[in-house]
Amino acid sequence: MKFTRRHFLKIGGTSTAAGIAPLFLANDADAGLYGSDAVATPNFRRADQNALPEVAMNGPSVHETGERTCVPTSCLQCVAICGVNAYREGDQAHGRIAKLEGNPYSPNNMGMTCAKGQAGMNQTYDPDRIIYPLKRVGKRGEGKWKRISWDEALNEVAEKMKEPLDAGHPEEIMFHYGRSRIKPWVKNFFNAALGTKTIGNHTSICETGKWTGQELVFGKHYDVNDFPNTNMILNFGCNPLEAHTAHSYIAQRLVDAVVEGDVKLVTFDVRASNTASLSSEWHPIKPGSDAAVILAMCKVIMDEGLYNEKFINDWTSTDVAELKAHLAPFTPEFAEEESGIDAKVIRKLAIEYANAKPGTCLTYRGFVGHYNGTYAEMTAKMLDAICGYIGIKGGTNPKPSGKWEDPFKAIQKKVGVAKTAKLNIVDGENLVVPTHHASHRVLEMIKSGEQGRPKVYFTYTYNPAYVSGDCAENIEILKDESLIPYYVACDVAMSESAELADLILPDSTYLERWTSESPQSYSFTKFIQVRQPVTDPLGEAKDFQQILLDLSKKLGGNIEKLMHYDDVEEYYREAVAKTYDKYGGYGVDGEPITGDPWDYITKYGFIYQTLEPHWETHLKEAKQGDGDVVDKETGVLWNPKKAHVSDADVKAKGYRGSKSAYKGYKGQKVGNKFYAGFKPDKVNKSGLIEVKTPFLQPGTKTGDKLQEIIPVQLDSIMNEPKYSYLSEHLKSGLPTYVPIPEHVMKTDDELIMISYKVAVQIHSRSQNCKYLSELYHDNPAWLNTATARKLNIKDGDTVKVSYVDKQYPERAYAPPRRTSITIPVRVTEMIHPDVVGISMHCGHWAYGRYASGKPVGGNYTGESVCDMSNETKDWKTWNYGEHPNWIIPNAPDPISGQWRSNDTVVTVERV
Amino acid sequence: MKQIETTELTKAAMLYRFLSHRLLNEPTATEIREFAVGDTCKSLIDMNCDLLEGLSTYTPEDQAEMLAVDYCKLFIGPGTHLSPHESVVLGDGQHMGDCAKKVMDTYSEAGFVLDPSERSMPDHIGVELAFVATLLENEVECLEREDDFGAEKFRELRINFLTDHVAKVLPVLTDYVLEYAEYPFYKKLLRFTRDWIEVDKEVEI
Repeated sequence: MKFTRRHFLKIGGTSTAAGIAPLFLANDADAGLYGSDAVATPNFRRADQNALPEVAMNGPSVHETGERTCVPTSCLQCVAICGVNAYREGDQAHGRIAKLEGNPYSPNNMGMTCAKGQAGMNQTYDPDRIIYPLKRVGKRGEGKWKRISWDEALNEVAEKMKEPLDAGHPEEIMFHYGRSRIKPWVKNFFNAALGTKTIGNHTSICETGKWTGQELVFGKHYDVNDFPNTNMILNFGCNPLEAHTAHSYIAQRLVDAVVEGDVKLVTFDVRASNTASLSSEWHPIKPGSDAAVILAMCKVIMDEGLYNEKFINDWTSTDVAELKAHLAPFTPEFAEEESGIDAKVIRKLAIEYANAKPGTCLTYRGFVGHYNGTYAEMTAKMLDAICGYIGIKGGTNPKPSGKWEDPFKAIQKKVGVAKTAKLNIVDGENLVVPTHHASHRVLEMIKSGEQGRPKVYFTYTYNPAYVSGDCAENIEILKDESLIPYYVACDVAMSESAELADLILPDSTYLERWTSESPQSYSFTKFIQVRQPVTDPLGEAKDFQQILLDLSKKLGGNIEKLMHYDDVEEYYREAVAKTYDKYGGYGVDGEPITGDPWDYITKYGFIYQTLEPHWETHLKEAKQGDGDVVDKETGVLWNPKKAHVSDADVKAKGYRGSKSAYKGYKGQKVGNKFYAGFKPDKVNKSGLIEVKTPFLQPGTKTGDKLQEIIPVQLDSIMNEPKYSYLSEHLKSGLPTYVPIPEHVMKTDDELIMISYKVAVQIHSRSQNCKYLSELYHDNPAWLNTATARKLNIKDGDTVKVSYVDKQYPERAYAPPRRTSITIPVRVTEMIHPDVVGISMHCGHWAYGRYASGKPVGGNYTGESVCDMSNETKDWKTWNYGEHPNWIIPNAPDPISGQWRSNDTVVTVERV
Repeated sequence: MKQIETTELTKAAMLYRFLSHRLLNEPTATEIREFAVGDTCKSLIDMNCDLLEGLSTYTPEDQAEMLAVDYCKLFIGPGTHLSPHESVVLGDGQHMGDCAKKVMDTYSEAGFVLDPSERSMPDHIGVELAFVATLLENEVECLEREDDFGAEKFRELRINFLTDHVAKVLPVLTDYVLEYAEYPFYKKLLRFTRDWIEVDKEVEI
């Protein structure tokens, strides 16, 4: 029977019947969309409220075609935090982001932004984005969800949190975050208000070895290489043209230096990355052997008398004689045997580097993602210290960056903070100095239960199932309700981890929220930068900061008082005002700001705090003030009160031995004067470049720990004559070359698997970006031509890559649950013959259609009626690649805890 | 005659609001309880559209949960979902694409803005249906003021909007729901909505 209009209208006509009444509460402006039975349908109002309909019809358009509003903000596709201009069509509430481009006023990126940055709106407009709070229905991981209201969601989280809080165990609430950029909020809510210090990050999967190595030797972590003013660059395992914490602007400066400045760039990398391709020389080096090459270079420089004796004497913790003695085993021939790099090349480059005056040594994850990564970073700083290239124009510098005032601190003083406690599950086990945690091991720690387990596991833009090694084990642990009773995930995308949560809170994207930023400055001036919302969050997504404010109201009491604000913008208005009051500011024209700094920073995106470049900051004189004392052992000028160190401890333990004494650091005595020196962080380092560090020497807690761990693990290796130096070196506190046990045990038919990043994807959270995944969605394993020939493998073949377990005493990790992956091969000359290289971005099994090819259920065939849409269908035919992490164990660098993502021994065979 | 016309248009507006609401929100247990005994349910059954078919043995609370899970699977995700926004269904697959902009421009050209507090996107099918209801309500208002010209303009806008937007989205969405919905509720609701739009857009201008 065909129904007529009259039949249909009969339904409309029943609207006054009692049974249908709740369905027709139209235009009730006070009713929320969800959370009540009284729900309104969307309201439209006339643009001109007083106009009659016919006038309204011809009235002014509020969304004129082509009208765009420019909103200066900060990118967060990667952690470089470029200044960008976003162009919005329409209003804040329902407009759309039409374009992103670099902010020309940015001192770092100077108007440029990369492909990832330009694709940023894909994060916001991902069709698979989570835009409502979702509650699990059925078993964890079963994939059944229902939408709930924010009120219901936050009531549930508050209730789950109250249980450990009421029991006096705030530490049983664990917060685990990815790239947050909201540190003051995390500290205020979780530390100060709740009282938990069980907080994990994600640093150990990237760069922990680099930061810890720097903290031991250099000071406050993050080294800035001054490419525009240098004469030579030695690059070890870093690929800034494709990925770096300062990606777009370090790449920009590197290209300019090499192409226009004719600066020599020498790259040591197992793979011919884009950076290696730009280099004057590319040296394919055996994975994890970089430190041997650097130490050999140091030896050549010392032997040839090319060192900077004054810098060594004034500004390091060692001397020429000690260095020469220490470096004796590291001949270029030794390094050649370890690394495969010709001894003559090492010698030549060492001399060239020492004569470059200045040069700068660049390192990153390819360099530190190894068993010996922390020591390796220390060797890189040793090389620059020997040459006197630290803290100078054209050299390797401590990062300059602007400073923000945190309004929460005043509230904490006024209200008082909670007593804190912590589950010892974020630093792994048996690590020497895990200053940035070993967060890839958190799930293992939870499984073991020896240090307790969180009752509430709260992740924020963090995807442990995918980003850590041994994915299969991660999944099993996250699914197990006996190990993790309650899991709440706040994220933009339905990640591999979020899909295992009990509750999902939809986060705003970085283009929909406020944040204060002061990234590492490659202009060497100091500035602050703002992230501001270009549009309101899509759907019911909400800024995580606002979520914390709302949640604090549910929790009440001091927690609510400490969070203080009603909305996030209030906090940032206050932060800008306080920051400007304390540090002042200059505009992009170099003139002091005269108007309201809030208006200025939201209009231009930046406020400069200094205009002159910060080189040689260590030479700035420090003055002794009230309460400052001089530590005799180290020559450190410090203020014990500022570090909360008692007089008794000052006398008994001194600077080195007192807890967190570095927080009171003020300067370093050199000769008869005090200088700013190289400011310490995380450990009680002096203001010198501590090439020789007491923290790795016996007699200190950390040094003793090192002695308990590494000699045991290297037991059989240390007996080999060529490594006989190790037993002394591991006690010396000086950086050394530690061979990788698995690599020493590797047979000739086995390979080393490394992972890497490409230019158009970030580690794990950009694959939902359509534009980027159109460019890169498949990750064939790179295999050297000679190796492929030996294994009878041709380009395009599919191979099985299998994990090979190498047992040695106390190795501190378990083999991965899954032991092989299958992947196509790209045969190329552009990789070391002992290596198989697989990029880390692909093989998502969730994260939406562009990442995983799973937009519409597991049984989706690509032949659905949905094909009627006009969307580009290419993604339905893509090979989504394979994720290498399935077969990489969660092994840590024993010193820092850095995940050893580049150490896995494998076999490769054609299937 | 005009009285009959305004009554019909009012009924149509209410029907659009009903459909808008049902496509924007999962039914609550209270709604289901009241709906099951109301005239709308009977009228729908008369049109072979028993929304609660197969669910009668469950409590309203269970029914609400089952339909909420189905709604989430179909329209929100993860899993088998097709976000019910014109940009996703017909456009380049991203939210807030050119389709959404065209829809916003249409709202604007008609002299309306979506309430800034409304969190649904402008091209959600439920919002588009609410806009049609708004146009109908304004048409009625014009007729009541004997502004035939204005009424005619609103009618023209409505038919064009139905033809250019709603009637294009619904067939795709309906076919999709027919393929993937677990319970009859959304299959019948979408089929009913699609059929109604086909009928309503053919009204003479």
